[in-house]
Amino acid sequence: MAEITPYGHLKLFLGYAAGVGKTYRMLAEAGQMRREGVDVVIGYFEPHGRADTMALAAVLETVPRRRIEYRGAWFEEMDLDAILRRHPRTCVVDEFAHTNVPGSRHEKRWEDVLDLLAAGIDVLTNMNIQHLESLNDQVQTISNVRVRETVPDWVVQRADEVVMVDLTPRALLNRLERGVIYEPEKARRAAENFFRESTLVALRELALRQAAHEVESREAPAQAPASSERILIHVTADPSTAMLIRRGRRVADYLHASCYAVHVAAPGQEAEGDAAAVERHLNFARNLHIDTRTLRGTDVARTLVDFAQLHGITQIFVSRPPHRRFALSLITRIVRLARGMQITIVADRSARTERAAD
Amino acid sequence: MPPHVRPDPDRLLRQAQAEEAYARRGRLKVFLGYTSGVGKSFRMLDEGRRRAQRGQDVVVGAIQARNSPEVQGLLARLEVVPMRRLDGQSVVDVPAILRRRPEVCLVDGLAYANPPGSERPHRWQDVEALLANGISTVATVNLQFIAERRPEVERISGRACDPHDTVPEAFLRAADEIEVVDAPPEAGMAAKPEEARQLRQRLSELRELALLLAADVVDQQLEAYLRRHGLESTWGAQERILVCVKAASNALNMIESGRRNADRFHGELLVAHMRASGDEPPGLRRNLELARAANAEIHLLDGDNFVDSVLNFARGRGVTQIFLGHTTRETWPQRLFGGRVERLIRRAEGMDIRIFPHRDADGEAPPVARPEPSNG
Repeated sequence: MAEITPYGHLKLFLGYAAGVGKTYRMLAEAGQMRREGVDVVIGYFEPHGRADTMALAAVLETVPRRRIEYRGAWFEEMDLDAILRRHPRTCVVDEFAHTNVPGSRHEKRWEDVLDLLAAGIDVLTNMNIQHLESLNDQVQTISNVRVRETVPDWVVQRADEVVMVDLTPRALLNRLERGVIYEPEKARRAAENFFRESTLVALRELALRQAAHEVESREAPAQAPASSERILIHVTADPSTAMLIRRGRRVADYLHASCYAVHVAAPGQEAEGDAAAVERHLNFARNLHIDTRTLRGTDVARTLVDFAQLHGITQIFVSRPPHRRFALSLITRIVRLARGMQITIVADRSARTERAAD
Repeated sequence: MPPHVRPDPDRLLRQAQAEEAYARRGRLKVFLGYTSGVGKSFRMLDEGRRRAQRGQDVVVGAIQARNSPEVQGLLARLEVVPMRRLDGQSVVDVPAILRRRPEVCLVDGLAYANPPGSERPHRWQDVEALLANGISTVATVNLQFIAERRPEVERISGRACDPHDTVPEAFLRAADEIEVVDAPPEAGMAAKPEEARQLRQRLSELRELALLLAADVVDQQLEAYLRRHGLESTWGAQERILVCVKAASNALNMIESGRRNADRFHGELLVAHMRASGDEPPGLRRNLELARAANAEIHLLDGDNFVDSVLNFARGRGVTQIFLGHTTRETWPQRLFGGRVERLIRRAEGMDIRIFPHRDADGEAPPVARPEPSNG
């Protein structure tokens, strides 16, 4: 076909915890659209047994889910192909950050959504702030929970509109106690993790600030002139690199800076298994839309700084070394060589004990 | 507050009295919107309806005259204490509400001015009277009417606001709960595309302001919570940049960069002058001036006890980034190996350390270094 399909419009409802009313807002808006004659369907809706959202969903057309067998169990996922065939004007997709069961077309639901948009279908979706990739370490510090389902910042940036769904933590805790959000057992567990008051207040502040940032970055370009800042992230095999990449990405987004992730391969100086870890980190950076490079050189600091000078880098991001003298001497050398550049030693924001979460 | 204060009986008594007064007082919840038409009144009435359903005694004390069908639908299900007409204006009938004594009163449009000759000049003061009498209030306010925000709102909208209709920001900050009513701007009404674009732009800026104001209020609540529970504020939801300068630092570059970064993050900028014994006063004066010009909070810290004084201060203030410079007086190996920057890097948990490029006192870049010995 010669005709180019215009991309669909993506509207993202942003919250800070389950139960703040994201799905309700989204479905209420879809219901309003339907009354105005818009062809809107539900692509995926997770009822969680909540009567008010179920009532809103009941009046809308739902595209049946796809059943997928995985390791002897049956799972239900959004049926991307069925929605594309049905081709509504607007599609409602709950839980943007969801990871699909293996055997689905895409690993992530947000990838399904990008396909819908590419087909010219408008999408209403929602997520919580703790699912934003660049905040992953901060969220862990705040909540003590390592969130595994994340959405890269560039995908959120891709949304045409981001709307904050706000609710005070007190009202949210009331809802939790009244059993509106989860059944009693899950509510009790939730109260020990995300649903502590201090955690909720901090997550809410993160969400409000992110929403303000999303609004600002969608204002006219005159408001946000491109800056001359260029950030280089030093990629190593050290596990702290993932945190470094997230933080570098976040700072670059706020400063409107361009961003590189660079690894220096020093022949003969790398331990076994390092190459795989480095590749994983570089891949992670690429997923966050960061340019990656692998350089060769025996003198890591010198190679890194030469590259930085050649590319007009203004800031080099390195991770805070573990308690090893050698690593700190690398920072020292980078500082000595990198004249005119700022060196940022990034703190580990997830220093507390890790605990896996859904 | 210093950590080890001996309990003073008078202070304890005052505290107990304050707590008692607070317990008798009604609770205030405010819905904040960035413009009219985002759905504040609906949210307020919906909250009233839900509270009434849960068995609370709820009345409507004030509602705007023009309403959507949805708002009217909700209104029909709630008891209304009619507003009084005074000089052609509607005012909250405080005496009638006090006689009726509900648990919860809904008051739309917190910023309205009462007509001259009223008992209280502003509607928010009527609400204050309700709260003082133990009646909890759920209210709405439009960002544009917050007194302290007016200059910025006028700059964005290019119009003067009505000087009478205001509510002080302190009143909002003292609210028990504040909730943002957010929605993307609708600029469909403007006739020309260019006008629609400009309107959308203005509304976006107001929207951003409202979200940031709410974030600030939430941050303040978080700080209060952490203080009450004796917790350190290392959450880092709000970026706080601490620029450490000395008499001999290239402070201009560092403070300017700190300002730029703080602005981009909508964070706070703090400047610490590291005062050392034998400091030359001109350096201190210059740093104070630079910090003031950058609209930063400035503090004097003990430079002879560098690592501890910086870290204690930074932790106490929830700093997320520390900017450090260095002078030509010390060489890098001295400063890093076993030096104070090294100790700071090792101990600054949860904080980024940004080291600024080396410059001479006159602002020139230093001469190119002699060849480096190899790393090993």
